[in-house]
Amino acid sequence: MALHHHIARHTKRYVGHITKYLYERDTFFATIAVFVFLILLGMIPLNFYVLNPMKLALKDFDFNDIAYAKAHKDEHIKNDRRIVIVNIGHLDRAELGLLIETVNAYKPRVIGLDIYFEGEREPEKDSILREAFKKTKNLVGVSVADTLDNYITIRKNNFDSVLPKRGYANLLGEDVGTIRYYAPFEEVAGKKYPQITTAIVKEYDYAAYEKLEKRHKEVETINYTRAVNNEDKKKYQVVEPDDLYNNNVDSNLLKDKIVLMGYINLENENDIEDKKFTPMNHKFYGKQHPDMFGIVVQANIISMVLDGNYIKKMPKWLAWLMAIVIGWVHMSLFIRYYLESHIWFHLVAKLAQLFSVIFFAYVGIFVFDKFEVKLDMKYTLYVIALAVDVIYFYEAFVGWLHRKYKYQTIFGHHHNPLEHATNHTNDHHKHETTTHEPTTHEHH
Amino acid sequence: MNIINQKFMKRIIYLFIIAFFPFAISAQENMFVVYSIKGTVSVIENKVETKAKIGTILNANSSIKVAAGSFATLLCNETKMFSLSKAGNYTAASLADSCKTNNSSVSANYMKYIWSELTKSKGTPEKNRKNYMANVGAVGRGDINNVWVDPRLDSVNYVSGTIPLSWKAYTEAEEFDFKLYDDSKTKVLLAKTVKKKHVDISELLKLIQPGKIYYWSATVKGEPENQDRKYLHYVTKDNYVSFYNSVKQHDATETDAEMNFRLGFVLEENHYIAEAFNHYMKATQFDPTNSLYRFTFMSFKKDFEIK
Repeated sequence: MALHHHIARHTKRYVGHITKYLYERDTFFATIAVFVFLILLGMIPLNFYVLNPMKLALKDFDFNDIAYAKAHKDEHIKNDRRIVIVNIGHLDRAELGLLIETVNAYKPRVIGLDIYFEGEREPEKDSILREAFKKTKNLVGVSVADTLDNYITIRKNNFDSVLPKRGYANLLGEDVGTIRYYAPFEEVAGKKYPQITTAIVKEYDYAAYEKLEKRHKEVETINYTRAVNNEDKKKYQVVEPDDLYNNNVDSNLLKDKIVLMGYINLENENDIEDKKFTPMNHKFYGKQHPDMFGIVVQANIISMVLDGNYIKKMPKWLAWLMAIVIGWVHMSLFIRYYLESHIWFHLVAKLAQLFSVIFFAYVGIFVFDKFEVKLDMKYTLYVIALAVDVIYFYEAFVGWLHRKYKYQTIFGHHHNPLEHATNHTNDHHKHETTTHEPTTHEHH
Repeated sequence: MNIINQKFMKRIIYLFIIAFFPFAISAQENMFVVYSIKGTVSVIENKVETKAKIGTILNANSSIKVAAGSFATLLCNETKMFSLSKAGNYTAASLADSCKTNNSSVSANYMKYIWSELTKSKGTPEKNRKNYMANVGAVGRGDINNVWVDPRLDSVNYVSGTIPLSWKAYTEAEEFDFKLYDDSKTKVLLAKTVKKKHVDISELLKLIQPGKIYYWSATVKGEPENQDRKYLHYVTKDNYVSFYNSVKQHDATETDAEMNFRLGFVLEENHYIAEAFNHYMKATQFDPTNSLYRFTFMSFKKDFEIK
């Protein structure tokens, strides 16, 4: 027999394993049972996961993080030359005032200051800083948004009068772990108040700002593209104050650019001041070190908004639809092994689950990489994981229906000791009272 | 007829464009930008030398001059970063190889990761302690680096054959800088970036001479240089034979397997790793049923990462 016939025959045979029970009534109902089970689990008001190590470990887990951590999604991304980060180190207020003036001498289009000055300090130093703020008209500063009784207020600051352009620097999710989202605007006292990156973009590229505004999103997913670390990744230009003072910086480097002034320390990887967890972390699960300084997170947000490179999310209905279709196909395969080759059932089920996770995680990463669309595969994976257990429950249930109401089912006597005793044959499928060919169903 | 000629010409032009498009792409000039500098670094353009500054763009005719003890980090095509730490004059053309990027796709990287995870041997700190000891475990003072070299490789006496000079990393680093120094520990004889965590001595044979002492170090790429130098003595054959004969003599009677095992042990204690390997192997060959020999040989191979 020709090789291609051989391959075609075997392919047909294996496809047959999946499709044999695909259109059986029980396959549909067992799939529905998985979703009923899922919904019931979701309705339980108690948090049963309180001591579940898997759930706790994966609380902050996202499959798409593998795209950065292990699949090097960011490898071919170019440096963003529109943004330059100036490290403020541990300069005091007077030194910062001088640094702001020095930076401004390079004629950047906008300077974003990622530092919050809480309260008053030495008057002479505060004065120098205040003067620098007054002189620098293109400066955008930080304010702090406080949430009280679900209302957001902006904390008063003694530099407010000399720093008219401000935005809150708060990011979302630091308590949970990974910073994945930010709110571009918040309503403060009935007015729209910008996040600092929004305020910076407004000064730099009004069209990009308008585009962001028109999206009307309360929360945006941050599309991380660039990292700056003490290894080999430096996707934004970082400049030290000494280089500026010593004239080591090309005059065009900062001209007409966005200069972000914030804390960054590339000398010491153990320095975690203002360092956040991001999806770009090499270690994407379990306990880890934070990986990205706050100023670089803000830089990534700015790059995303300037490029209009927002992350699109798969609609929830599509996620459920995928879960239904894929769950149904898996259920058909599982039922086939459950009924016909029970000895292999658990092995096949576990292998199918493993390869499904690998495959669907890959599909998610591929789509995320190519189209910046985040697929929500969690329902699909839940369904695949639950399907095996639900088959047992479903079998018991239809067994009861069969005994009570003569409900016709392909499961019938399977694992039913009473019927086993009287009607057992090795081929369950041909059992005269409990199973039947798909074409001869009698629906009651 | 004219229309046919036009069509024919069009085809020829398209064919020409398609045929030469790849060359046109590859002929594109690389753009270098100075990312950071330390010390004295200058740019030479049209025979005029100016101080290199952060953000300076080098064109195809420019060259960059790095003085001794200085370094410059350059960014090629806004994607690939590399450092020049060796004093010298580098033309833009000579740096072209540094612009090469890894072409592996996200899909390929994902599959590699899945495969490596699927095939990774399991173990727990409780049961496989050696795999979980790659840490300092104490407060560090001074130069703590992310590379750890097994104390067994602290000193190596080399005569012939090959053994890997290996290390472990505390981080998930993918690239390491390996350096070979002369006996002064300062003059670098070889500096190379490697992706594996070892360099075979056979790769150094062109640079080392019998009778001389060398030092080597490994550092995670991009990190400050590891000051911990490891000793490598290229022992002359005469010296080795004399030492070998002195330890070979033994009054008690012993089998070939016992003798080889004893010699393997003594040679290992005296840092003749390649030679010890040969004797441990011979011991297992002479007496394949002896579990002590087999176990010792396997452990030896594992400890020194000999494949």
